[in-house]
Amino acid sequence: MKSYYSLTYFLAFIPLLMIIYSITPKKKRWFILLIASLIFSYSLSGKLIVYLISSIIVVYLSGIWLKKINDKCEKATENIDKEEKKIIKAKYNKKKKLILIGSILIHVGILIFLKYSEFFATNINTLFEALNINIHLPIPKFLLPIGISFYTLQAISYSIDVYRGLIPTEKHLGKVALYMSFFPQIMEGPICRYNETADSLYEGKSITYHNFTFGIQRIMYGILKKCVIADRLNPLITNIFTNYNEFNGGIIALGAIAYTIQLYMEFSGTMDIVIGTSEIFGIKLTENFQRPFASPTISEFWKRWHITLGSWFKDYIFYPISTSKPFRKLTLVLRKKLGNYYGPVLAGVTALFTVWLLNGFWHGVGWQYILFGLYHFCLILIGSLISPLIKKITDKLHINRNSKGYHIIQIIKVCILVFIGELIFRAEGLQACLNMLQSLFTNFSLSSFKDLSFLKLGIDCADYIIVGVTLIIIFIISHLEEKNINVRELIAKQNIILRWAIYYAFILFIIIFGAYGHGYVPVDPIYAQF
Amino acid sequence: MNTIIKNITKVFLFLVILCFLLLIASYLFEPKTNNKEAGMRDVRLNAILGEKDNTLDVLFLGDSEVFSSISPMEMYNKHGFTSFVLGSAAQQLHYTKYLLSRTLKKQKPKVVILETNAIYRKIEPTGPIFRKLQNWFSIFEYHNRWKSLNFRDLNLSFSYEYNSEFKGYTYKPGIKGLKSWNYMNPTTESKEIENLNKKFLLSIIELCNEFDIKFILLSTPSTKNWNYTKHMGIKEFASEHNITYIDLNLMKNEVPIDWEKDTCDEGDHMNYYGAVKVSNFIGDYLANNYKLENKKDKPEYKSWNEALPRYFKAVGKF
Repeated sequence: MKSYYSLTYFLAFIPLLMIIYSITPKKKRWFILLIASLIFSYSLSGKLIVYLISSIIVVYLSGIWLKKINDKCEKATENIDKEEKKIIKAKYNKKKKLILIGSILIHVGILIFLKYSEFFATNINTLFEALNINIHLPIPKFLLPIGISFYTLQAISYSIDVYRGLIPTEKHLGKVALYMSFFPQIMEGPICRYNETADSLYEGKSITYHNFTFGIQRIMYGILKKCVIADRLNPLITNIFTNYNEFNGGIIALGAIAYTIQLYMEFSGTMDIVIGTSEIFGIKLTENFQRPFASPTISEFWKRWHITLGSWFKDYIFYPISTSKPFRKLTLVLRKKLGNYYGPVLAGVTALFTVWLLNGFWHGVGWQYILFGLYHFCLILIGSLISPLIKKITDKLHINRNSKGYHIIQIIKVCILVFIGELIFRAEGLQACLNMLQSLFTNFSLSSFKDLSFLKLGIDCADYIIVGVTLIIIFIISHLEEKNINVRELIAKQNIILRWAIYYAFILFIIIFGAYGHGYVPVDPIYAQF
Repeated sequence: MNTIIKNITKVFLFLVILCFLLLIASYLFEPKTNNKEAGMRDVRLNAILGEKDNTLDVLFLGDSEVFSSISPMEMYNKHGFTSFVLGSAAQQLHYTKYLLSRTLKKQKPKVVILETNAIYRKIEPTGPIFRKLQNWFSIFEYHNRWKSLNFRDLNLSFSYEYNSEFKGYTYKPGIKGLKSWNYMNPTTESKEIENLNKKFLLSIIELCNEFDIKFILLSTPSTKNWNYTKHMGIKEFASEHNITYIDLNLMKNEVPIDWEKDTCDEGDHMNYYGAVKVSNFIGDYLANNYKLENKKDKPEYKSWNEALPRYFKAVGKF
């Protein structure tokens, strides 16, 4: 198996696992999931699974160690006065901090070593060359185990949450291993927190008819997004981003829009498969998307797109920085001088800058990813700084900010900003990215649409139509979900003839209009490469 | 328990109806004739569907090596026996087996020759499953025809009328030669055939045995794809299973390939001049060893005689 999108996964791995899982006693079912997860990880990463196993062991041991110190601390602080308790607690907290830092350093160290050492070495060599320093660092190249960026964040969140006392220490190595390696989420997330998924992972719920059918439906929805849209757009996107020098700004804009659609369909589609697969086994994973293209602001967009990554950065980077002692003191001073709105800005900006710098880095190795992070940092910062001004202007002009028209304009603005961001994200290197942006703003032309030459860039008119129709279907489903209408429940309430007719139509739609087989090159799981 | 049985029945019934719908869709989407305009895939090899039943003496199977180096019309011209090349780019053995078993429903060849390069091509475990799915439901192979469906497709009768004067061969006139070559250095090492490949190879042999067909392994000349370790691997397999194995890469005197002139892509494939040399040798070998009848005077092979001038015109011999 190379990914979820394989016949082996759907026709052999999942059915076999369902059978073994069902005949295993409830208490041991988590163990079956663990074995399946390790097999899945091994089939993806081969011998590189050793990194995942080391990570599991480090997380497990740090958790156990933290618990031991907690227990010792509790014993030592029994029946003593408050002052003495404080001193002893501080002593134990120091030890706990050391363990936590050790665990984080090991994880981040492995990630940096495997993923970024080539990037750093290349850039240091370039710098040395520019400074005429005659040193040339060897450029290391390592194979990355699939999902390392995801499970590393899960590992760190587990260690920090145990340290903070938010979750109990898991005493069973196997259970920690399952939390870290659960097969549906190992490739592209979601980055789940221990307190959100652990219970359902270990519970061993039976496979019910409801969970099975709903899970399959969610999987089919994911396949629709991936195979009909993301894969169909692939030749167009590859062509535009590879031969960007040959196209005017209009086509570059088309490429940016197409890539944004592809990325969303591929990533959210994979999440549908991941969550649907878990649903079959009665395991509820955290949602990663919540109709992001209905966001009126960029910061709202990031609360709806890759939700688990955003909330990870918020909880483990943003708040620890903005609420750290030095920044708390500084904010107090600034509040007095600049008022309540602009007072906390400096602390917020520093934390936000760190978050987006790391976010860019996390996504990939290359300057364009850092530029991508900083672009969004600027958008969010500007958005929040000018928000009082916008309020004033709209009030003065008597523009109703709650009106539908204003909301739609806001959504369009966000979409355009996101398209530009994804162009930076997808560009093949920093130079290509800058050239494409330049072409977008200085060489914009609609001539390729007027003379219909845009239909010869890898996909034809029929492809555009089918992508459009599928997007409308997805838009309707998303719109209903936005209104809190559960589409699957809605279909389940219909009589069997109508219900099955809908299912068959859906399946046949994917089989007929899916971009698979001869003549198609499916897009690789995009986020699995990060 | 009742609920479980009820639910399993429901799922089963759902799947049965789905299969039925897929069958209908397959009939609708499958090309009704075997030419390119009708949407047929691999027209070069699917032209075999247009050959009259039981008219082929020899079948060649394999990847691009075989369709670049074997020209059935050259052999027909010289010896009068009929043959067809069922070769496709990067062919995997599960597809080879499918092609052979499909052809044996309509043809009774005396000899089947497999070009050995395909034997070393890795088969993805899902490949055979997807192939089976495509065999049962051709909608998986021809789903993309939604772009060109027309009223003719509503008529569910199939008539395969297209046949080609090339008989599966691909004419490559270009010359892109090699300056130096030294690719068959003797060694005792042998390249192992992967288990899944071996499984399909054995099933192909079994199929030939079942139909009383002589099975031969053939390595056509290629400096890029062939070497001595592969030769040894096939040689060992052939002697273990008592199969005739011909390696033209070691027969410089019998098939004098000039690597400066007889290849179109620097040793990867034969061009037309190389293909003529290979076809002449294989034609002589088959005619001498397998009593293949000369069909040139038989009226039922009129189409082959008519195809000859078309073929020679196409390859620039007229």
